[in-house]
Amino acid sequence: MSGTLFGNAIEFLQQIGFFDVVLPFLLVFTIFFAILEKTKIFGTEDKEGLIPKKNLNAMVAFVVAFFVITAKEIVASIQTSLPIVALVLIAVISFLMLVGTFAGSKEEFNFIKMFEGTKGVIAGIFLVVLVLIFFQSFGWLTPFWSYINGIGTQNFILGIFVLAIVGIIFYVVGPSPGKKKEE
Amino acid sequence: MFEGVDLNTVMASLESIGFYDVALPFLLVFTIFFAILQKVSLFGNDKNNINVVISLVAAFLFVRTTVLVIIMNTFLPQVSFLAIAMILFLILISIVGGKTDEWKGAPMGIAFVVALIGIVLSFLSSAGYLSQWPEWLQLTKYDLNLFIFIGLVVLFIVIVTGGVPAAGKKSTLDIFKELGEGVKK
Repeated sequence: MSGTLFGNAIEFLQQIGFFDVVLPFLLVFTIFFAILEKTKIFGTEDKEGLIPKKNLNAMVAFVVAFFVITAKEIVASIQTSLPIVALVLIAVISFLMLVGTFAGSKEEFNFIKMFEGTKGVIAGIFLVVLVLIFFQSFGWLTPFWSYINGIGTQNFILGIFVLAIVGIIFYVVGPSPGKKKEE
Repeated sequence: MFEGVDLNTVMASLESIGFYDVALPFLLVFTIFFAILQKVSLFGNDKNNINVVISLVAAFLFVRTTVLVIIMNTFLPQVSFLAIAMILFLILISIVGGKTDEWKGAPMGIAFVVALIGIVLSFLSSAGYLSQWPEWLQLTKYDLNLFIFIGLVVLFIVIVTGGVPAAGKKSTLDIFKELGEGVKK
């Protein structure tokens, strides 16, 4: 990237601390301000409760954003995790695009409507992915990866064997689908 | 006017100014974030300015992370190739009389699984994870043969036992019929 016109611009921004100070500050300030405006925690200017107290909200958001940019670990985590989330978003949109190829063009493509019942599973997967991304950005997953790398074939096969046995036991002991329907 | 124009040179000059490494990823991430924030109205309605700032920050941070830009530059062409393959498949289906505009039931489920596998594989291969399995998880020729054998045995059992439908259950033949019906609809 360096050496190109746009690449040099990014490097210049990096040198002046745009990514380490300005962007995290802007992000935290905007999110805090937006939440405070939405929730109207500090009350409203008018009796109808329509106009939030902008100056108070802005001041609180400003102070919190300044505190955040002094916490280097948090800034580093934001810098690592947000781009990964963006990449995951690109992948999800690509997936929706591919599935949408087979959908009709008469109305808007609604994935959840089309695959009803997957809502909970998808929400669960996204939650796990998000937690993993944040754990990774703090470096908390490193011991886990090193454990996985050193687990060895024997232990892996043993794990699969135990899971298979548990699965078979559940299959045999559990109620049959017919009984479940009757219940 | 266009006598000396060579589009390859234009592309090369775009690459030399960092158009593919900086400008395009920035535009893509900014647009996707902004579109999603506008759609879900996370911070309330008519909050364009807030959505723009959050999208800008995300796009700038993404562009700065060179590794992710490289992954995206590899991933998106692969996905485009997959999309082209799917469109070609639909064209082939339409040649033999199947309708291609609205799939339902089992065929849509298969399309879902194929798209999911395609996306996951291209994502992993772009990120270089496919060649980075732990040593104990790398498959040898013997393992592959074993898996193929187990797969064939399972398939055989499913076909044999699924051929005779139990009360309220679909047989394998019914599933294939449903596949055909879904494409025909």
